[in-house]
Amino acid sequence: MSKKNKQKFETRVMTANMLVGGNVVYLVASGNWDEDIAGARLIENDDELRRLNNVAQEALVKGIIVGPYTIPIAIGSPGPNPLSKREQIRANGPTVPAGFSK
Amino acid sequence: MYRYDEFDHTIVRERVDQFRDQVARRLSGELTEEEFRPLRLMNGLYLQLHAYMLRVAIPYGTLSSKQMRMLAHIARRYDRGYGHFTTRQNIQYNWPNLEDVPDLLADMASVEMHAIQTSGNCIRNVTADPYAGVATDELEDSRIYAEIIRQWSTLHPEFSFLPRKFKIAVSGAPIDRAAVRFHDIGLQMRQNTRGELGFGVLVGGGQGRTPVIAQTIKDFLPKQDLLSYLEAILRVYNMLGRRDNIYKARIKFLVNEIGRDKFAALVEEEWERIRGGALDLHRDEINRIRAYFRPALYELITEQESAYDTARRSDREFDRWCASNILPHKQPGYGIVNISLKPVGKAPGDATADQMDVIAELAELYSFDELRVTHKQNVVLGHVRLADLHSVWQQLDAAMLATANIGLASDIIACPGLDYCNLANARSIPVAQKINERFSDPEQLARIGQIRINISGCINACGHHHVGDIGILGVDRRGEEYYQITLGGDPADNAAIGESIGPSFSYDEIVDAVETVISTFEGVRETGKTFANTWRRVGATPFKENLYGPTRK
Amino acid sequence: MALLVSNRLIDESWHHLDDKADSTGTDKNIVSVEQWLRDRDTLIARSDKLGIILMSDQPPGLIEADIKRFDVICLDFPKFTDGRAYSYARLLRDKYGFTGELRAVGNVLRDQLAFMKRCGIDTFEVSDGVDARDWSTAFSEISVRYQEANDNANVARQNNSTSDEEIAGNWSY
Ligand code: SF4
Repeated sequence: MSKKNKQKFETRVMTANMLVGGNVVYLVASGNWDEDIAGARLIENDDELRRLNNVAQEALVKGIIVGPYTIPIAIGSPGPNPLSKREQIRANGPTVPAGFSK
Repeated sequence: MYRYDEFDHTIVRERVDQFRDQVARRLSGELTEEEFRPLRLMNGLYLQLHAYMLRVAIPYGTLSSKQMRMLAHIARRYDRGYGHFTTRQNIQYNWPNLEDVPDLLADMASVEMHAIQTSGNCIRNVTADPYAGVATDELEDSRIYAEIIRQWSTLHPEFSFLPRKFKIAVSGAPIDRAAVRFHDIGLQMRQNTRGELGFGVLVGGGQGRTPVIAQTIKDFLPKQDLLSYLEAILRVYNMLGRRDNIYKARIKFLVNEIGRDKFAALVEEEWERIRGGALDLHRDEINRIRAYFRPALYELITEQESAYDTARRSDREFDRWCASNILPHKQPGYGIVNISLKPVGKAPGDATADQMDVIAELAELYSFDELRVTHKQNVVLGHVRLADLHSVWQQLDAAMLATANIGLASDIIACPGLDYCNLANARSIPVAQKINERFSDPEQLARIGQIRINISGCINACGHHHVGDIGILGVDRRGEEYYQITLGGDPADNAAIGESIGPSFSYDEIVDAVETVISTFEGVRETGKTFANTWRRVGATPFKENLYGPTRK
Repeated sequence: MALLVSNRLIDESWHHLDDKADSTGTDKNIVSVEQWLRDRDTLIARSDKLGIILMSDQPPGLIEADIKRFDVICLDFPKFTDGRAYSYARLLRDKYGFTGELRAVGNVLRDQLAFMKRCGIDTFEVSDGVDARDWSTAFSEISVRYQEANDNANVARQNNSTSDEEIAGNWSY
């Protein structure tokens, strides 16, 4: 985010956790919050960033979500792929099978 | 075990109602997230990577079967069928829903459990020797004092908003199994020249981003003065500890900044003022608590346990398990059973609801209805008759709980890391699993012997990497997971902080690097010597050469 | 500004002397430590009743010699996480024997009231715009206490009559 303005805009998506469930969600085109990053609305310029920030602030105040922020992604198939390991794990869940039993 | 009376029940119940009200005020919008966050943290509720995480206190790690069954019920009803036992003798649930947490806590409260003070800048769950009351070497059961401290520190009006979190550990034995040198306050029981029991008081230890070994500020504190002295320490810290920089707010920085002697003098001055007052611990009060921890009604066993010996001779696997997982008990004919939560392929410290039920059942049938959770993320059946061991082992084995690796290379301490934790740089669990797989051959494990491999996913050191023989620390290099290796840490009497050995390794390299460290150790060790001993003798050079090649120093 | 006193909301009757501009005040003045140390004698001569406010980095030791002169001592709680004034309150009550009004001011939050009260604070400032109508219920949410502090409520074990036999009966072995 601290990259110089000259560089081209890094495509991002807006993410947060739901207030009640705590689950990871992404802001999708309809303006809803969805668990699947595939449908996340792409942010490709500063206007869009500002607009979605406002949407997120509103959802925050309404008590729908907590802790919204944007993450850089790469476009892949089927959809956006977070660049950082942390966000990949947030998007896909723990990489280890939990609650292992026979 | 300590049994809550009406009084304790009232506090726990009222606390649930209070939190229910706070959650309702949050959901109605009366409280903002900013206002609610510290309140939920005071009830052990975090927001992690994927979901809320609830940390439940297991005071000094001790549990009854009934409580363990409740943990299983919670896992099934409110979570995804498992729980994670932590290095601080707590349990964490990774998937509860905010709305459900008040009900969850109410269920917990029915068996006297709660999440009070499992988070926030307060006095956290007091930890103790996991073998308290059954170890052969102890002076007195440390849980008596841990319980007294638990009561005193619960919802303490003055010390609930300290500069930073505060951890206290108690050891009742000359051999330290509670890591008293790595806590904000460590209490080490000892005897004075008149034969009275009291505590050596250490302050300012800790791990985290600035690991420090605690320093003694009082050689001998009479037992009756325990609470007044603790209150004096906490008051000095509460007033003088740094609040401008979260990374310098722990008591270790205060002790370091003003010097141990000055700190001790300030505590002494305050203590002189308040000692002998309302906080004086009368013998009656100590006896009252002690009565809860009186020894079990052991059977007097005079003859050799021949069935046990026969089973060990005839069953190779059982014998191996006994060799690594059973410790001598102070009562002849009994053993301390360590149940490993580190089988191949599982997250260290995780237990499924079904496994918890099995453990509860075994405790009820064979171990006086009592369990302990250790800071190594395993579970202990404190007192099992040797004659029952073979049967206990078979039942554990059927539930995947009979891994024979206590204290060995695959008994790895690992924090949740980047798979769950919001603060993580790198994953811990899969690294632990890969090391575990690599060292799963029993012969090899036995040959390597006792060794501590500890993994933390970030500098906060929840995985105790600073005190591992081999410590592994997850670091972030441009969004990629890397791991730094430290060697030579020791949590106990020869307390030492591990030394960083060189540049970090990638996720794909780290397991090979650990194997290199271990094979180097096997190459240079003298027969029968431990890693710690060998490290002190040979130092870093052979390890560095094998890890990075001979040219690097 | 309102005050919560004995579970009732009342209007503030003290005058907070402004550090610079306001040199007159009334006969009931609350001053800062800096003012006090600077104008001590004038303030004593002029005020009928005196109060002082300790900021969270101003321990009561700073005014040790004068503590008994004050009718009210205000303790500032700048934010949720700054807990120094809890210790100041206890020192004022226990060490310095202050028996006057001990008042919490600043960012006084409902969910901390019970802790404050237990440390010996008896009145609570309500910031403008805060709805404090249900504040008085905060004190009774937890009805029992494990440890001695500066209230006389229901401390654990003090009058506990559990005998050894009863405990043994409880004991599960
Ligand atoms: S060490 Fe870091 S990654 Fe691991 S649990 Fe603690 S905070 Fe999370």
